[in-house]
Amino acid sequence: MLLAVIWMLWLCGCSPRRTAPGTLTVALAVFPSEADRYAKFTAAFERANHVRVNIIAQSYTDILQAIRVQGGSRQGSLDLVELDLAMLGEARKYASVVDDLITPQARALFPDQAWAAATIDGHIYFVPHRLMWQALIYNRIEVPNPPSTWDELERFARAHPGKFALKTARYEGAICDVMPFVWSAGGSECTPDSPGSIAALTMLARLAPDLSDESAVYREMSVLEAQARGSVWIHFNWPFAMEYLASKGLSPLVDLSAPLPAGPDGRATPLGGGYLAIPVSAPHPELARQFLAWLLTRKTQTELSRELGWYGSVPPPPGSADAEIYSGFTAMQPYVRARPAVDCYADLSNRWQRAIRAVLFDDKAPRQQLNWIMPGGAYPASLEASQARCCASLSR
Amino acid sequence: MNQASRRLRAIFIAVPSLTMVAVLVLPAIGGLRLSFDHNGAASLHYYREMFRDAMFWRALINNLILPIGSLIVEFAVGLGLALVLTARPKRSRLVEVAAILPFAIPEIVILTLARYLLMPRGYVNAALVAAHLHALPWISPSAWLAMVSVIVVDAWHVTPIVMLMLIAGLETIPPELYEAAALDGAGPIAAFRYVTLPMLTPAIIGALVLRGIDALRIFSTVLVLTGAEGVPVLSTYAYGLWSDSQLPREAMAASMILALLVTIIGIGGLAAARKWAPRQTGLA
Repeated sequence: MLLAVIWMLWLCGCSPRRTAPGTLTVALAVFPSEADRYAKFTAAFERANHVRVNIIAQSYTDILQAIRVQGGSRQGSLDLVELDLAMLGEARKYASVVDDLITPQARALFPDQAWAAATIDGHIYFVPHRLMWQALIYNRIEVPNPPSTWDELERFARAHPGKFALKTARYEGAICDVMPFVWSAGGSECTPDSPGSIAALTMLARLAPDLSDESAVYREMSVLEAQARGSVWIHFNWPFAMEYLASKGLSPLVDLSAPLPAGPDGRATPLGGGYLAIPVSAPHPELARQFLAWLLTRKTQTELSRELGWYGSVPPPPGSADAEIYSGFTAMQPYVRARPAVDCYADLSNRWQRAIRAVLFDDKAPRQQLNWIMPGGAYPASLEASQARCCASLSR
Repeated sequence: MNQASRRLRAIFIAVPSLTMVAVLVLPAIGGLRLSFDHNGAASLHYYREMFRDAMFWRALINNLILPIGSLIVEFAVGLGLALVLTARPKRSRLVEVAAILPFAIPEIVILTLARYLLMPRGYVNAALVAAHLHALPWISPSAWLAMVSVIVVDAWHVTPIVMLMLIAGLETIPPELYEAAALDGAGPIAAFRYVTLPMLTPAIIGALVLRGIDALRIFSTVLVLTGAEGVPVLSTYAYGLWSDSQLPREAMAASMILALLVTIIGIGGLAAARKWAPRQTGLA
C-alpha cells in the first residue's frame, strides 16, 4: 500500500501542473511569515484586476532550479519568480524581456546600478523587487563612534580583538563582505589582479589576526546572533538584521547601523536582494506583466516599504523610528554597486571565496591568490572590458 | 504453489525492486554520470578540481578521524551502561529512560541544545567564567577542541543505540555460564574476560560495523555545531558545493568519494565481522 502511494506521488510529481486562468503564481524567496504579509500587500492588485495571487515561499536556489526545468520543458507553472541578484546572469536565458514595462517613472524608482544589473545585451530581463545593500551594524554602547575609514577599522580591530567579524563561510555572503573593500580600493571581481583588489586583500590580511574566530563560519544569521549576544560589536549585514535586532529589543537601544568604512577610493556596498522575472514558460505572462506594471509605481513602492519594511526604493520617513534604525542603510544608498551579471558568475564567485579564505585563514599571500582567480595577463582598463574577459579567462 | 500464489510472489518482489531502482539506483547512476560529465564529455575534471581544494582534504581527513573517535566513545560508554543496567537484579525504569533519552530526543533539538551549551558565550563558558576560569573555544573553527566537541556530542546522541544492541547481546548469555565460572573461582573481572566478552563479541561487532558505517555519514552534528567550514566532513563539503557554491557536479564528485569510502569500509567491516566473530565465539 505504502509503495503504491510512493509510486503515485512519483508519477504525480512528473506530470505538469495546470493553474487556473485567473491565478497569478508568484515564487518568492521569503519566509512563510513574510509570504503572509506579502499576500496582504497584493490584495489591492487582486481587487483591481479580479485575479488571485498565489504566493509560493521558496529558496532562491530552488526557484532557479524550477525555472531551469520548466524552461526546458516549456510547461511552466510559475508566472513570476524572484531571483537573487547573483543569479541574474545565469537566469537570463529562462527570463522574458520586459523593456516596454520600464517607463522613465519606473526607472527613477531605483538606483541606476540596480537597472544596470537587470540589463543584459541592451535588454531588461529583470525588475528590482526588494533591493537591499549592506551597512555596518554596531553596538552603540561598546562602540560609540563606529569606524568610518579603513584606518579607523584597523585601529578598532587591534584595540578589540575578536569583536569585529566578517561573514567568510564559503558562500556568496563572503563576497558581499569582501567586495566593499575591493571596490573601495578601486578593484573589482573581474580584475582580481588589479592594484585595488590586491590592496583590499592586503588590508584584509592585516585585519585577519584580530577578526572574530568564528568569522570562518559566520553567515548572516549566525553573525547576527553573535552581535545580539554581544560576542561581536561590529559586522556588515543586510537590513533584515535591524528588524531582527529590533524584535529582540536591541535596536535602537544597543545596536544601530552606520555607513561602511571608506577606503582609498571612497565607499561601496554590494547591491543585493531579489529581482522579479517572467519565466519564458510562464502560463500567464500578460497577467505577470500587469503585476509588474502595478508594482513599478511610486504608490505601490511606498506601500511595499510601509507594509514589509523593504526600503529599496523608498527610505523610511524622516523622523520615524525606522529612520534612526536604518540610517546607515539610507546613507549607503548612493554607493550601491552590483556584482557583474555574467554567465560564469558562480564560478568566479567560488574562486574569490577560496582566495579570500586562503588569505584570511591560511596566511597565503594576497597577490598569489588573486592571480589564481583569473589567470591571464594584465587587467583591462574598463569595467566592460574586464567583464568581457571574465568568463573567457575562467573557461581556460 | 499455485499460479495465483506465484503471481502474488512476483508482485511482492517486483514492486519493492522497482521502487529501489526508481528511488535509489537510478538517482545514484544519475549522480555518478553527472560527476563525470564535463561539457557533455566523460572527464575527471570535477574530481581534479576537488582534489585541488584544500577544504576537500580537510574534510576527508576529518571524515576518517571523527567516526573513529565517536565509535571509541560510544563503545566505551555504551558497554559500560549496558553492563551496569543488566547487572542490577531489579532494573530501574528511570535509569533506563535516562540512558535512552538522548536518542529519543529529535536530533535537531539535541544539537541545538549542544550548540547553546558550547557556543563562545554559551552556558558552559558562562559557568567556567563564573568559576573564575577561562572560556574555551569549544566549537571554534579549526580548533582541535571543536573536533572533540563534535565527537562527544555525536557519541552522546547515539550511544543509546550501541547500549541497546549490547544489552540485547548480554541478555542472550545463559546465566549458567556465570554460575559455572563462579564455581571455578572466577571473580567479576575474570567472568567478564572469559564469559561476557567472548559471548558478546557478535553483538559488539554488529554494533561497531553498523555504527561505524553510520558514523562515516556524519552530517547534521558538524553542520549545526560548527558550521560547514568549522569541522568539514565530506557530506557537509558536498552539501556546501551543491547548496552554496551551485556546483552540482563537484558536489556529486564529493558524494561519490564519500559513497566509495562508506562502501569500502562497510565491506571491510562486514568481512572482518564474518571472519572474526565465529572464531572468537566458537559459533559457526
